[in-house]
Amino acid sequence: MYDSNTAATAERNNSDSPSVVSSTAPPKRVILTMGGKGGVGKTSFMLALAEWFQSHEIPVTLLDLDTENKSRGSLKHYFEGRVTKVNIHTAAGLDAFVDHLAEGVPIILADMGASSGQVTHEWFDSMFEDVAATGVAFTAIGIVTPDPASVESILSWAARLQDRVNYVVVENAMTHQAGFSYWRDSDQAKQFRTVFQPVVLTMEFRLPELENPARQHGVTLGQIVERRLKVPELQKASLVIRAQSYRRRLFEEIDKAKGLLLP
Amino acid sequence: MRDLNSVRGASGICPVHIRYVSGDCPAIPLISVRRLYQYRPDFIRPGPSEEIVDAKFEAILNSLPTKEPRSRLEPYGELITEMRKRGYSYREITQVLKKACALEVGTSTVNDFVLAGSRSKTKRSVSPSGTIETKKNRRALTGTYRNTKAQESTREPQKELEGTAKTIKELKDRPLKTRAKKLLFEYNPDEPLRLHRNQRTKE
Repeated sequence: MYDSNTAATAERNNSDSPSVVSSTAPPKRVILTMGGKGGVGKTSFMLALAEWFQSHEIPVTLLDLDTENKSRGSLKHYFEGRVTKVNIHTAAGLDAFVDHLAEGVPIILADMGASSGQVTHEWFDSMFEDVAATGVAFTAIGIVTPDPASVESILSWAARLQDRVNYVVVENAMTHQAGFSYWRDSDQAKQFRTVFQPVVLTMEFRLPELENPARQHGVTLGQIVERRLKVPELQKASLVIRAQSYRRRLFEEIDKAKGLLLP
Repeated sequence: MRDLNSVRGASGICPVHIRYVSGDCPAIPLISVRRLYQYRPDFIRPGPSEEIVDAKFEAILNSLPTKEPRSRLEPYGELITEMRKRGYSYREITQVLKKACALEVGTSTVNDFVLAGSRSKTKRSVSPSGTIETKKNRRALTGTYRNTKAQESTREPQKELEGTAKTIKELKDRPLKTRAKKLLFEYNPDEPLRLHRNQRTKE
């Protein structure tokens, strides 16, 4: 179960704990999506986040832990060759975090699968204290949509992760003029915000003419903006400008949470 | 609590119950009283009349003639003990006694003398706390109670023992880590999300 010796304690113990990374190593951060509800835009946001780090020339390791996701639409689909697929449904669970951090990367972006809750929670219960003691911080990304199930998913994760992670919540407008009443107005969500003070970002609605071919061909907004594609439907000038606008505004949103995204 | 058998054993003489120390019993219990008091001052405290009796008994004891040693080897006890400590065999000891002391004894005699001595020491060796030292508890007593030359050489191990004892005490006193502490945030997934639209509208 949850151990109250959270990040603060782990930080205190940092100096005298045995470290698989190194007790003198610079701090590191694991950014993971709170999987639970599928199709809310977890991978879309992680793509944008990966591009944000790329734009700042900060190296990151991309882990695709969405074992059940089909090739198309997964993180691996967009960053072929740069993404490590990890099966978390093993006894070792999320130990891949530790192993990749030990290789020296400062940041891990982990795109969790929709059914990864139990494994993740168990891993945190058994491993967090000692991993955090090595200077590793965790940020959990929750994506909310107008669907109350997406809110419930975040709340369920938060009830297990407690304050062992920092929270960033992304309001993903999946439709034009989307409402987030369950996220903004429910008692439970309000309590979550009061307790954990998450940074809330907005991911605006994207035109289907841009979003659908991008998913189909596994291309990022950055690739569309740079016109490096041979996809005719994504070379239209208006879409390229739109992609640039979406990307710029999304990066501005991500900047708001930089304190919880950098080690 | 220590049983009276051990107390009697400590005296080495008095086979009787402690109630005889009042003075009804003649000379022999005197030794018992003294030894009891020596080993367990808190066990029995002689009153003024008992001190008078003690003096009387002591006078009697002083008037008794000194008895011859029960073994011919007794005058050489320290020599034999020291030679044993230095690793001399019983046979070698008998040879030394024969050459150096003109004392002709058998190997088995020396052997019996040494064993009897060690048994006697075991019986008499009583720690200040009243615990009789035996083969089984000797090491523990050496480390904690006795103040002998041997202890001088084992001061470091004793320090280690003290350190260990301190660590054990600290470990016992340390409160258990409560892993399942109060949660900062609780959520019941079976309960639907409760909306407060009106409040928001008013705001």
